[in-house]
Parts: sequence; C-alpha cells; structure tokens
Amino acid sequence: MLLATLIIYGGFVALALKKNRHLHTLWPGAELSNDDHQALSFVGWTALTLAAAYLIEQRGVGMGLVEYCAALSVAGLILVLQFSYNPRTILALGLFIKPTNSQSAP
Amino acid sequence: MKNGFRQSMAWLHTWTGLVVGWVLFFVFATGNLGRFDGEIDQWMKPEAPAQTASVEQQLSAAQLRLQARAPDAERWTVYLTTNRDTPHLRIRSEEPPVKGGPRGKRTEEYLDPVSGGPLEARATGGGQLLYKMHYALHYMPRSVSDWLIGICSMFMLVAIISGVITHKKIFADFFTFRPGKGQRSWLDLHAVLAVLTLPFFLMITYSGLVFLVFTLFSSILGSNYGLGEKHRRDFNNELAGREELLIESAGIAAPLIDLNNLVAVLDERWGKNQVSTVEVLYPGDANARVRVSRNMDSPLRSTEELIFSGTTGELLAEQPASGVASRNIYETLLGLHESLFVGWWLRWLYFLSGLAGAIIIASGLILWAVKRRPKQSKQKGGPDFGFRLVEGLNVGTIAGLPIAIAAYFLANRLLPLDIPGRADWEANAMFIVWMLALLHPVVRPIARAWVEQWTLAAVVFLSLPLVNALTTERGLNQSLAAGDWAFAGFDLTCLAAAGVFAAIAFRLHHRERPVTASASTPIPGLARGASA
Repeated sequence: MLLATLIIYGGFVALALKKNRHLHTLWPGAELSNDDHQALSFVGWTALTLAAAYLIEQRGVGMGLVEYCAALSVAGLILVLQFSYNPRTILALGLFIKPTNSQSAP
Repeated sequence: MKNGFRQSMAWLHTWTGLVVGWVLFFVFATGNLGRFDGEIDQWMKPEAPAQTASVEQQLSAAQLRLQARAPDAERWTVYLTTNRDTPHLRIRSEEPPVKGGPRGKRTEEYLDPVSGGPLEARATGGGQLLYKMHYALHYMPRSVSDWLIGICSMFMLVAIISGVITHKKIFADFFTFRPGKGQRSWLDLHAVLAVLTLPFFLMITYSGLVFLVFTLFSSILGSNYGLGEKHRRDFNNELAGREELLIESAGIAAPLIDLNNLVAVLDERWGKNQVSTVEVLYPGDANARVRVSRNMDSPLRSTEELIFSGTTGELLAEQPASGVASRNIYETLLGLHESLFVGWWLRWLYFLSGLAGAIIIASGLILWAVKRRPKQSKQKGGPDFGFRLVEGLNVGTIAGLPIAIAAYFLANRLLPLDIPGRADWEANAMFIVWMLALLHPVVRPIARAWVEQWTLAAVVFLSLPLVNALTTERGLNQSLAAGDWAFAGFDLTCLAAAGVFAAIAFRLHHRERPVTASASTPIPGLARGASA
C-alpha cells in the first residue's frame, strides 16, 4: 500500500507537470516540448496502471481496488497541499529531472 | 433553468445540493462516526469489562439466556465478539412476522458471557444509535426515514453527476487549491476534495441507495414474491441458494442441540474464532435450523455459511461466499459501504474520506451563500428571507451539529445512571442542543454566530476527555498507559477536533474585526468566505 501510494504520487507529479500552472510553480518560465509532454504522460499513466496492477496482484481484485482508490486519494491530497503551501517539498523528493531550459527554482 | 447543457447542469447541481445539503451533512457526520461505532460503544460503556471469553463460553451463555427469555421466538441470533464490529456479546430474538406484514418484534440484549446475565453497563444508545441515525434518522419510523433518506441520496447522486459535468477544468484543476482568494478558494476546496475522493464519494452514495432498493422498489419484489417480511426473506434465501431455510416450522416440539457441539466442526473448517454469527431458525421445533456465518475478509459482504439441523447437528448445506452475479454485485456494494472488512489504517482512510465528504457538502452550502452575499447585502431592506435562512441553517448545522454530537457524548457521562429512559435522553440532549444551535443565528449576526458556535464546539470537544477522566477510571493517561486504544483514540480524536474548531474560530474572529490595516488583508483558508 505504501509502495503503491509512492508510485501513484510519482505518476501524479508527472501528470501535474504537464500543466503550466504547476510547472511554473516549480520552475517559472519553463517550457515543455511535445516530446516532454508525451514522456510525462507515459510516465504518469504507466505509474498509475502499475500501482493498480501491483495492488491487485498483492491483495486480490476486491481489496486491491479498494486500496487503490484510497492510495489515489491520499497521494492526490498530499500533492495538492504541497502545491498550495510548500512546492519546494515536491522537489525534495527528487522523483524527476529538472527540465533543461528552465530557470532556477523559486 | 438556463440555456446550454453545462449551465443547466450547474443549475441542477446548485439546487439539488442546496435543498438536501443539511440532511446530507447530518448523514455524513453521523455515518462517518459509524466507522468507529464499536469503539464509541466501548467508550460509552466505560464500566463494561473487555470481553475475552471463548466462543464456547459465549455460545453457552447466549443459548441459556435465549432459552430462558425467548423460547417461543421464531429466530435467535448470536453476535460473537470475534470481529471488531462486536465489542460485546449481543443476542437478538425475533417473533414471527405478521402474515403478509412487517417483521415481528425484535428484542436485543448485551450479555456478560461470564455471569450469563445482561452486560452490566449504563443504559446508552452507544455508537450504534449514532451510526443508525445516518440511515434511520431519529424520532420517526423506518417507513418514513427510508423514503426521506432515499430521496436525499437520490438528490446527492444527481448533484455528484451534475457536479462532475459542471466542473469545466476537471483535469486542468486536478491538483489546484488556491487559498486566500475568497469565493475562488471555496470553489477550489469544494472541487478538489470532490475530485480526489470521487471514487469513494460515488461509491458511498450509490451503495447507500442500493441499501434501500427493496424499499424504494418494493413493488417489484412484491409482485413476484408477495409483500411482507416473510416473502422478502424467502426471496433472499432463494437468491442466496439457501434452500434448507425455505422451510416452515413443523409445529412439533423437539429440543435444540447444544450449539457448542458445532464449534469443533467450525474450527476444523475455518480455523479458530472465525465465526461471526449463529442464527437459529425455529428454536425448539422439529424443523429447527442453525445457520453459521463466517467473518468477512473482503468487500464481499456475504460470507461462507454452514447450515446445520437444529435437532441432530447434522451439516445440511454449505454455502460459498459468492453466488449468482447480481447478488455478488449487490453484496459487494453493501460491503464496500459498511467497510467491516478493513483493518485500522484503511478504516481511518475511510473516515478521512467521509470527513472530506462532509467538508464537500459544507463548502458547497457555504459557497451558495458566499456567491450571493455581495448582491444580497447591498439590497434595499436587507437580504431576502431565503438567503438568511440558508445562512442560519449553515451555522446551525455545520458548526452546530458537532456541538450536538458532543452533547450526546457529554450526556452519556453526566446524566444520572438511574433515571428512566436514560438512553433516550442522551439522544434528546443531542437534538435539543442542535435545535438551540439552529435558533442561535436568529438572534445573533451571522458572522458572530459562526465565531461563537465554533468556539463552543472547541470548548465542548475539549471538555470530553476531561469529563471522561473525571468520571471514569479510564482517562487519557490511564488509557494510553494501558494501550486501551478505543478510549485513547476517542479522547485524542476529541482533542484534535477541538483544536481544529478552535483554529477556525480564531481565524474567523480575526477576520471579522481587523485590528490593524494589515489584518484586513486576505487571510488564507477557511475563514474568508464564512465571515466576509
């Protein structure tokens, strides 16, 4: 469950960074190329799928899906609070690489 | 109604949410406490000893007691303390249903398996009553409350679906919460919590409706099986494949077996302490049947069952947990709703999701008022009656209901132990306090009413652990030292709630009366809309 939550969290970070609002919270003025967008999509959705598969494999379909929904809510809530109140802590987890053409972090 | 699909949906979302919002807030608040109904039961019976008796001891005590008290009942049920939902051994007897009518009278009792007599504890509705209020309300028969709750849940489902359609930027705003921006922040809070907990929110509402399916669509079952409790039971037994239970009483007396004789068979099949309930149909009759159910271990609410002859103890049938697909779906939805299968940390997540649900409803109600406040306050002759009504109900419910719930717990500790109807008075205390909280905004300015009620909520929740420490031997210092998590958890949760309510009150107070110019700049968080 903890591992799955972490995987989902990573996926959510990737998906959130596709949106300029969140990207610019971390790196003002950063621009993403089409390839970057596709890579983030791929990473994000793969992580979400992987976490579901992992939980179902570990806990069975019934419990697995229940825990998956719980993990989605928890990971999402943490990320929302981080973006709103302390975006630096997202960087602290170091789950991804800084875009090359970005300016310094806030 | 406005033109355009999304606008119509927004209209639908606003008004379906508003009319039933306060009832739904009550349902979410009490239902959410029901996640810990067993723990609250324990807290509300502080003198009851923890039960450690074996399954054998419990069955013996239950059978003796039922035999003495209800020899002519149509069925007996024994709820064993083998799962967290049953902190104290509970027995129930039920008289035969009226022909073609509702089920017969039920009598429930908690037992002390050691003495064999009733559990010695104060008269209280406990966590069970609080939990029951979320679907049966209070002061009314089920035939009324089922329909009220059914209609409110239907509105809720409509509000959820229309809300998702209305949410223009569901993906763009998936992770967005912008604090300190007034109406914008309320909308963000409302939307972001709803999106994050959408699977839970949709599941809990839809499955809540599924609970009522045989009430709301009683004629479908009635036209095929006949109306009344007996036919509903026949339908259920047939659906579950329990042919052995589709049986009439023989009318010939025959002694019931000693239920303890079954324990060896159960232990061998399921392992120790896996049996949750033992139900005896037609006790003392030649056609007596004993149905034994196993504890849940997955969202599927139906579990493995064994059916024995009540006169010989012979195993007649074995029912697997899952059956026909439609029943599996039905039982899974109910199991997900009740969450009896989850361990402590998933239970807390359920609790937090339910809390998010209550906040979604509350923020929606507040948003309705915040949106209209600028125009209403400029209006000649003051705001409309409808607007003031909504604002008053918001204060009296969102802040007032927590106070009322605390009053229920306080009454449990402070009412004299020997007054008649004690358990009823605990609930009366709750509803009297709630009524007062609803009337309070009538005589106070709305902004003041918010501050005063949140302050009072903080004070009463802070007082709960103190009163508990003064009136029982199980105060927070003792419970923490003893690892008594039902008591410690209850007290700590009250302290946490008091802290949150105090923080809200503090913030609202300072928004309302800016002392200096700097204090009148926007303060982030909950405070803004509610007092602006």
